[in-house]
Amino acid sequence: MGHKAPRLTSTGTTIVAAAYKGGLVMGADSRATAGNIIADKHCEKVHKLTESIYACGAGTAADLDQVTKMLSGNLRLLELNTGRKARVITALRQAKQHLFNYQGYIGAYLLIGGVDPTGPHLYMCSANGTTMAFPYTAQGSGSYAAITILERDFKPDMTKEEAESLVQRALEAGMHGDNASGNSLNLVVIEPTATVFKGPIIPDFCKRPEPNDLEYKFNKGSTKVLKQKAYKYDIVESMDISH
Amino acid sequence: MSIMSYNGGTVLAMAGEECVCIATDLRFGEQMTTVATDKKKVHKVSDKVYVGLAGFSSDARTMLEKIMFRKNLYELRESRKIRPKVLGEMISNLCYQHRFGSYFTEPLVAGLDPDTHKPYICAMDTIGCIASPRDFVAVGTGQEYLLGVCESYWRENMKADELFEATAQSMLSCLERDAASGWGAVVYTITKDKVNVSTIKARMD
Repeated sequence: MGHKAPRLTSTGTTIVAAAYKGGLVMGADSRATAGNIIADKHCEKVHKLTESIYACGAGTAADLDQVTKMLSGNLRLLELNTGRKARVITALRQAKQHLFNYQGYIGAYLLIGGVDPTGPHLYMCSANGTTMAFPYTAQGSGSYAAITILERDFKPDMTKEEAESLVQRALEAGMHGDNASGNSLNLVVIEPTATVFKGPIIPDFCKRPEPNDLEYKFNKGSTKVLKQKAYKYDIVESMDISH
Repeated sequence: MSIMSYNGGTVLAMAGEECVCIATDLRFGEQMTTVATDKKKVHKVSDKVYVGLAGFSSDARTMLEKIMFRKNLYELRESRKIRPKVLGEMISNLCYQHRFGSYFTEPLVAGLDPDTHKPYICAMDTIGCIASPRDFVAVGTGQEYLLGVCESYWRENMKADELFEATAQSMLSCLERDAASGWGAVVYTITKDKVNVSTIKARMD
């Protein structure tokens, strides 16, 4: 008995991250799904926590938005209060303690990574609060496809270009093999001196097969209207709208 | 049957060049029985900002009351009109406050920025995950049909009258295949100097 729960938007994702000599590359696809419907073609799954700490999320989309919003707020307050840059381990601990409190019911699976004064770090944080450290990893429904590429091609101390290409190829494998991933990808390259965000990148196989010559153009008045009324706006002079 | 399709109903919003369209069907049902045929799911929040609430009707109404309450307080405190993006964020937070016992309604926001007239549309799920694409959004029982047909009908930089035709025709196509929506539709075309409210002729079965 009882009702079926409403279908929530899931990121149904491929997210990938890999460390290289002196930095870190993270990336995600941009498809959000609700069952078999593509709910959003260009959703942002690479979340900024601080200037040099980013989080990629898989799982329940609303939870990821809210958890990363909370983390970035708290980390910014921490930076202002201490006058130092926040560390990746701090972001991780805040995330895991929050998620553990909710016993896995907040469906956020995160890859938290970044560069801080102690070097580059990459962690994975599960919805139930489990965390692990990795040199490279993938998460989400497309992670199986992505991890094969990482396992085959990852090597320690790669150059920035090598790492970027590896993460992009792993993401493309995920987008190719997993129905819940696709449309476009976003990358972020984090180094001690600068953070570069790249995207949205649309791989060739994600483009529409041919340019659409066919256009549905309706002539003005082709829809039968029963009743129509136009409402002009009132001009309110007392209200100040010049923020 | 899911509570989301208990009453039925569909809302669609499309963005054009300095204009947006938001359309709603008029059916209100209880499972397969049609109870009322004049139920609008789109509500005026401000001059150029409209919100659509599909899903379970009682929750949609409660949600609307909470939205109006918060929007009124915002406009009094800030002494300026609310922008559609702000309203979207506000509704999203309201939805997420009820994360583990959500209102069974999917909100949709469509409007123009009161200063720049930039169009804004967004839809969200029951717990407030915002999807804000540049083309079109749909919520409700006819969502699947609408997303498919809009993908063909929507074009870049449509003017108000083109946008109205595209929105109305998408809505009519959807009503043709969704049994839980129908009994006519109302399309609101929001432009920078007026709002056109048009009742569309549709099938009454």
